[in-house]
Amino acid sequence: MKRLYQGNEASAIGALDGGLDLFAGYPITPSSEILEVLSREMPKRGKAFIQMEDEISSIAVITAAGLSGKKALTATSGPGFSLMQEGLSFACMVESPCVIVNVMRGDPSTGLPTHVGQGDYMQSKWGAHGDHPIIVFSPGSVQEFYWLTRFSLDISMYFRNPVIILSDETIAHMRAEMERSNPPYKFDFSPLPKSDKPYNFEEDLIYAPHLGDGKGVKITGLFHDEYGFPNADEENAQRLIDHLLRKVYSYRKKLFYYEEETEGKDLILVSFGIMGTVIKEVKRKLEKKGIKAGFLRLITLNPLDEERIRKMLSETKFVFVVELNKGQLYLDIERIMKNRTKVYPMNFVRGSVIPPEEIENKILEVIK
Amino acid sequence: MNWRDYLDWERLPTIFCPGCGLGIGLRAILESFAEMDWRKEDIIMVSGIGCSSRIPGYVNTDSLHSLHGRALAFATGVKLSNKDKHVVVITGDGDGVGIGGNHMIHAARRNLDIKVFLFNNMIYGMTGGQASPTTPLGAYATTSPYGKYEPTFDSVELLKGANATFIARGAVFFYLHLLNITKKALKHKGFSFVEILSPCPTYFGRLQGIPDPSLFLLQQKEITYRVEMKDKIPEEERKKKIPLGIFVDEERETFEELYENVIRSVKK
Repeated sequence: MKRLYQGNEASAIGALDGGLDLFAGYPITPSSEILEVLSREMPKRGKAFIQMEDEISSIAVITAAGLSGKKALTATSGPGFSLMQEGLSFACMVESPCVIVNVMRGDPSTGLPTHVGQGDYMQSKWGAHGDHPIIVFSPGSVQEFYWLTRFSLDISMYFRNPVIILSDETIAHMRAEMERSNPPYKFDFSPLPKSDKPYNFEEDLIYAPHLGDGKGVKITGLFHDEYGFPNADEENAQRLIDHLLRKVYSYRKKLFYYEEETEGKDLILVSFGIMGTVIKEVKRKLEKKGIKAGFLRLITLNPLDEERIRKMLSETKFVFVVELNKGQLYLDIERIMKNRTKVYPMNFVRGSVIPPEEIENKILEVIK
Repeated sequence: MNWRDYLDWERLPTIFCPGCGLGIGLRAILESFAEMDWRKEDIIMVSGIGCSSRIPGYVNTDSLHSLHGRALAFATGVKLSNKDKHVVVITGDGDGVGIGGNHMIHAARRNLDIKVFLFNNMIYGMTGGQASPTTPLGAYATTSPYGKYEPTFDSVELLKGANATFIARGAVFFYLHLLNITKKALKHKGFSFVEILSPCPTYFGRLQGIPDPSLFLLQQKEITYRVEMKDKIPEEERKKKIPLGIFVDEERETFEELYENVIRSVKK
């Protein structure tokens, strides 16, 4: 049954329907409704909720919960997400499953707290120190915010890795029709080999003992051996980091979700989040003018299936990357295309969603 | 149970310097586990970063060696996810009341049922002897070459302010006194905080001009007094010394109990 939901509410309900065991968070606009809804709903289900003293401790709590085999979530926005970066690097290193919703607002700094922005694209992929594997999804609608939150809990458990949901203020505060249905994303959750040790650097994906199982599991953020004990041996260090990155990046094709109309187009618009939805309207407007316009709306932001993107964008004359930042996804697309197609950045940083007409006019100027 | 049964013998010897107090403190904690008859399967040790935070690696329980300053935050997540387990935190002065002071006071305020052992060596040992929030006035460190001039944190007073339900301080020189405290800390229901004065001869001792570990350990006798003897010591003398003993031991509803009440009241 469809009903009107607010984006943040949809995310919170998606987490509940996905079997969330624990939520820890700290208030920050524009993500606070997730914290509020779950403070009301988690005790009703006998599940853990805690409002922490800051975002640093929030990610610590969900990392510890993930290591204990629980489905755990936190929600924040740019400034809080920055505070979580050290914890994120730790969670990747110790292979803790946890989900972080980042509702982007106008930034940098305290920025425009009640306005929309997309300035955390790079931070979500590269914000934490060191080479670390990270999975990033971005919703383009209220319905998708629900699906992705629900889906991310399972993905994070399967990969024993943090998953970031990069949402934005507009989607978070928009009210739209939504259905509490199964996420449509295809993924093969085949059972994983059981392990007595917490880590396996060859097998990559395993079902390992948790904290609290009483099997003497040791966890450390230092380079460690397969028993979790600190180990500074050079060969071991290389094996560990290769394993961590391979674990996620070898799935770059299987984890790549997107929506597209790219075949036989003269120009293609590329974006994500709320702007990913706006470019579909721009495409329609251009089509009405007789221009063969297409679009690529990315749902997965990391890892990117670069080969697939290259294939989709190679045949067209113009690629426009539309974002509410000074050009972050643009850098990735330009790098992936390597001069195969002309890639144009189209950037707006003023705290609002850009009307399709404005984007349309800019495109017409370029292609005339 | 015997305290030796909790050690992970394959991982020994420790990385600690000769003359370090951590081993003595660890033994008091393990002897207390044995006294409580806690199964190692039921204990989860959590620590931050620093010398003392390496302790859980040498214990054969489940353990989480987390981030600098965040031991209490991770322990909160561990406890919420493992209600029936004993969660024991090992931290130091820099980790626990320096970078991690905020988490310490909030964990105490919530009265989560976790046991905190803070090893106070009055210096940042692992990074090479920089001044910590508990480095005494006038003491030398690699970042206080002219003597420490900033006021010092008294973690017992800090925890009193945060309403912790069990607050105590022991010193490794007075082993049996310390053992009595660590046992009581484990028996306490709710948040227990024990500061353990632990010498760092390598950095703190050497920088004060007392590099001999045994002489430096003996100093604990001179700089401390038992809180029970408070009234018998002149105030002037008392001000220069550190009180040892149990300062607070009271019962209050734990976070877990309070949240359980909420669940009961709203569950359909």
